[in-house]
Amino acid sequence: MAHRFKQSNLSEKLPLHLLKYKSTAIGLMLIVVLAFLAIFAPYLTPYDPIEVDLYNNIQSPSWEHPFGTDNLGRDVLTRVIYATRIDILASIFIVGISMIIGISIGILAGYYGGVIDKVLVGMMDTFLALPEIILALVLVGALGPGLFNVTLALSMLGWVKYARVSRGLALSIKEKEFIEAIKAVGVSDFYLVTHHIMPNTIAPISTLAVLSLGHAILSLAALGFLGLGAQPPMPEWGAMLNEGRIFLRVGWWISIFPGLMIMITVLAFNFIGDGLRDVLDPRLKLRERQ
Amino acid sequence: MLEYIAKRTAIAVFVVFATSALTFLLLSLIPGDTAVMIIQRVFVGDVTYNPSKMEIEAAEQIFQLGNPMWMQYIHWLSNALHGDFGTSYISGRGVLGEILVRLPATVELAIAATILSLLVAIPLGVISAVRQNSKVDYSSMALATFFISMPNFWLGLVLILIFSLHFDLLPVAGYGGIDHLILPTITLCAGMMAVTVRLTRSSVLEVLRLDYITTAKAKGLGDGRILYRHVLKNAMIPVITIVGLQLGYLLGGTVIVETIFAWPGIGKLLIDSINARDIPMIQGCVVFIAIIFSLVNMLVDISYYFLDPRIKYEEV
Repeated sequence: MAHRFKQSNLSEKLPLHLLKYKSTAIGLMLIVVLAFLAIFAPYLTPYDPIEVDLYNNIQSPSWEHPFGTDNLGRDVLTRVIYATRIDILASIFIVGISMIIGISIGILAGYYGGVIDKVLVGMMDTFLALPEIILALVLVGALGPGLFNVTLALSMLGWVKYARVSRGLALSIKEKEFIEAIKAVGVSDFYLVTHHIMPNTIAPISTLAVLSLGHAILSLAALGFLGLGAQPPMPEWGAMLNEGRIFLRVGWWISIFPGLMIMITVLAFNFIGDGLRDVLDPRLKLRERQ
Repeated sequence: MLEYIAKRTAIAVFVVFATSALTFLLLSLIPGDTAVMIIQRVFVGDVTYNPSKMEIEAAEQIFQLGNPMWMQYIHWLSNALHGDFGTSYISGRGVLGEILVRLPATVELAIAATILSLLVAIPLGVISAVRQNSKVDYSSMALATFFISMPNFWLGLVLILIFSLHFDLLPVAGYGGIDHLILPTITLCAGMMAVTVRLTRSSVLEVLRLDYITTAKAKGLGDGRILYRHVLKNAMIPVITIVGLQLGYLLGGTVIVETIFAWPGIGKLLIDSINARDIPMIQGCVVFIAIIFSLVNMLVDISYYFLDPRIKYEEV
């Protein structure tokens, strides 16, 4: 039994690292494929994602319809492909806006400190004190259902994690000697922040951003599934699952394939995020190798 | 210690108040004539009823709808503190009563999911760490990654498809005996389980590297004794943190799981109220969820003290 507690050396760890990098490669490949599907959607399928064809409703998967057709006779594969556009674009939007808000607030708090810092940290803690999806539900309840409102709500809620990370980074960077030196030269705060503090936050923030893309897709689809996100007939993975739910008994393919696409996409983003973390944060890797 | 508990309680109370105020503010943005809605649904019970001007004025008077936002909030708050959370626009019944009727179902589901996830995740995480880089380790880590990326609403449908529709072993949906509980519990805890396995593993690995483990080994203690007495006790502290944090995920998850399985809990109530724009009910549900969430987070924070005396609360 004793050997089981033995510290593993690098050569023993190597397979795990290879596996990680292999998974990163798989993740990247999947994203390339998804991007291809999203961009060339109209050329990849002969069917229309919205047009109703009641003569062909609830057909099981076949050569003409590899993912079958839904209750309104629309080709599920076509809708799944078109939904790639909506889900990925919306999640990029969500992450982008959250990042801009979060980094601004975080650096403001970390760089200036004092009362501003206290107030902003209090705000972050309050936001963190509640489950994100509940806040999103209230926001969407107030704004009304719809893809735009859901995207807006999730963008407004995702900033806290970026704010925390960039605040911590700003705090630690501003104490560094090179910042003192730059300050001594007499540059403006704005220049200092945009040219010396922000670049140092890119590596940790980008890992977080990629991991959040998967999270954003899951939240977006969850709200779509609850009937609050994209409204029919718009093809969105979560909403498709919701529409297909009542036909589960007669046509499992209507809701199972969109869910599979969500999983593949989220998995791809998570793979890339994990790989990025290993490459960009050598401290973590070092600790694991010790 | 007492000071810390007091401080922590104050934070929890503040969070609940902040949430209730924020929700109140957001819900006031909902368009529509509240007075007409109240008369139609609460008093008359007929949505096509056309109230007279006098009736509208009377309703505005009673519910103080003409007052500024903050006064309406204070009014709501003082009522809420006396146990009156208002009346549902839809059913015309008291909000608090309906929430209390629904609460046990949600608590039952949340507790079942937590227990199942811990029962599976902690042993699996410990085995993965102790046998690092073994087949067990690789497969449990791969499974965890897989489950973290899986949408729970999809998992729920797949489980219904297999166990209810195909094999006809378990009920499709509804509330009742233990057979009704199985599928919702698995759906709810899958993601939580995956996170907990990963965390337990890394936490145990971290502790295994520490000097006192080497000392314990040098003393000639058996592996089992080291594992139980020295490793697990210390490795469980971050795991408890995550279990606390996961409660948020769990409460969010119940909204979805309860919708899939027609589980009559507070999550489904919230979704139904949002769809029906039943403002007092939404407000009540959110406040209740905030209370549960803050309470559990507070208990988790306080429980550290007993687990890890090294933590100094003055610094927190």
